[in-house]
Amino acid sequence: MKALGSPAGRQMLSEDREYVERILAGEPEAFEALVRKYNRVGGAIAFAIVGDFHLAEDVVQDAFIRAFRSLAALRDPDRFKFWFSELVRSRALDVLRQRRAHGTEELPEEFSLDTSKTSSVEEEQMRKELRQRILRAIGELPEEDRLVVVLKHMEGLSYKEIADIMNTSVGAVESRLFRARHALRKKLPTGQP
Amino acid sequence: MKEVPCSQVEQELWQYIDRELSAGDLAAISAHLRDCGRCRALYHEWSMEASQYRQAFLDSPFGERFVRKCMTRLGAEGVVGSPRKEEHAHLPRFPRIAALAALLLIVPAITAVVVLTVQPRPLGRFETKGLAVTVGSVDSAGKRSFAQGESWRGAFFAGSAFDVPAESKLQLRLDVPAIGKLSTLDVSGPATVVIDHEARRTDFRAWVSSGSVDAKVAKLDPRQSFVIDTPDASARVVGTAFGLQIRDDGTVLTVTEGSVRFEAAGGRGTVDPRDMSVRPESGAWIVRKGQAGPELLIEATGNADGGLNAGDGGKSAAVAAPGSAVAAPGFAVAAPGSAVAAPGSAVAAPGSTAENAQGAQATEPGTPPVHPDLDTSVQPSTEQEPPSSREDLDTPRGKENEEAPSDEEEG
Repeated sequence: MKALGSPAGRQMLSEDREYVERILAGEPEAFEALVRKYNRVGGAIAFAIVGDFHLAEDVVQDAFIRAFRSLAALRDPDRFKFWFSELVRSRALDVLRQRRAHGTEELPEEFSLDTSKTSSVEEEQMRKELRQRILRAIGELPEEDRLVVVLKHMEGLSYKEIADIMNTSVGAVESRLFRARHALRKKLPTGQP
Repeated sequence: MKEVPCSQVEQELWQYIDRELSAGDLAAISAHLRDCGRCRALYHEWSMEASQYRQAFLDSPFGERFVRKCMTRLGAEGVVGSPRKEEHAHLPRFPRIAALAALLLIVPAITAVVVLTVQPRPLGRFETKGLAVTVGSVDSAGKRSFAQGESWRGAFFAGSAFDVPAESKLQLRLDVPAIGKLSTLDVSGPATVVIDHEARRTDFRAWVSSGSVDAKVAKLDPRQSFVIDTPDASARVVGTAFGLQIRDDGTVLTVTEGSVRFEAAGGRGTVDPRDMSVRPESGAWIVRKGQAGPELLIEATGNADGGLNAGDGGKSAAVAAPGSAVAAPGFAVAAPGSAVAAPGSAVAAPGSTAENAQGAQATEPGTPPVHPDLDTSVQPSTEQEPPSSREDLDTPRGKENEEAPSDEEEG
């Protein structure tokens, strides 16, 4: 069998490292791959903290800009995911602080939905009511529990992936998730979680 | 199979729904749920909850739309290159009269769209075998469809979600009346299947969490699409037959008809079952003989890179990401309709040789967990003729079907 591609035994770079090195070598377009890969996780973290999709979008965009500008300071490009997650979290907390400083409530948009894309008034009303109830209940959870629920149900991450992002154990994620779901069940009417 | 008591099922039920148990434990709980009405009711209730929580985030702006928006902003701020030109920038300037004519066409079109969205139409029919259930208020009218039973059939809509436990199956039959053809999607559990809430018959998209998928896709117009997302990959199909097996270690793509062009973070290339070849354009991939048709493993927890070996005239070729090299413990070869587990062995597939297997190069494992985005574009097969009617499909049904929910019941 003929071997193609990279030679045997070659130490392959991780893809994140490759992206980072390409960007630092003058190929900024490679940044798009990182945006594509991590925007959802970043979005889940941001949404868990700010409780609003519009705000979360701004937070994640800001975090990507900051990530790009300080990419050279990233010592271990293999850890881009965790580094970026922390940038998102930090930016989201900044946004909350700014809103408090301006006298706005912590979750001014009631942990709200983006309802701008209505397909019909009746349909959207039904969907909105149910989802707002759920999102409001999620928004009332403690921050760590909220983050676990959002990473699980918005992003569909495994316990291990959530644990890596939160720098905790799989067992801790499991118990937080169990506790959070139990709390949500009590907050939401029977039959309508 | 080991038996588990109700107390253990209740204790592990969320792990079961979250697919966080081993295959053996999943199967044991599935067996218990079949026999225990009380636990089954609890499972249905909690599955419904999980589905509702997922749907609460359906309006998330993140994904490809966000990528475009973010890159535009990065470009506008001079951070990353220049913003992408919008599509309309390439359009010729219309004379005023042409613009007016276009407006006259657009207004009735918008009206038609509004009417259609007020009265949602099903995308096709579903049928389940085993414990699989439809869950949540998932149809586009916001109406919930929730079924309990051993076997069900009915209509599905954009936004429909299904929970398919271990040893259960779900078949979706997607009508494409404009071309008189039909696409089918068979999912074997354990899996969660969510039809994208913006899916249409000619622009279909579904998310499958785990399990295995066999798809037979009608040859579509190039502007139409059929996309299956998994946690590790996206398979974009124009007209072919293919399978996906979503495992803990990644997603295996198996193609039986049509050449597959794949793109992943670690490289891109083409898998062509007709000449049993894998042609790399960039990156590097491990290839080995499989059992039936080219196979591509996108590892969930490693890098999509490694050595690449072309097929040498055998019956099939396979591509695997590094870390698993050739046949890591527990490595399973996915083929449509069958799965061959070869734990700890080099290769256990007909048409393959130990030499072929050993020829694949392992690469460094142990990198952080990543989910490579894979865009797999499948070129239309020139040979394949998809079934032209529902009657062409084998759709076994259980006895309970007679009382299953119908289209009407589902709204």
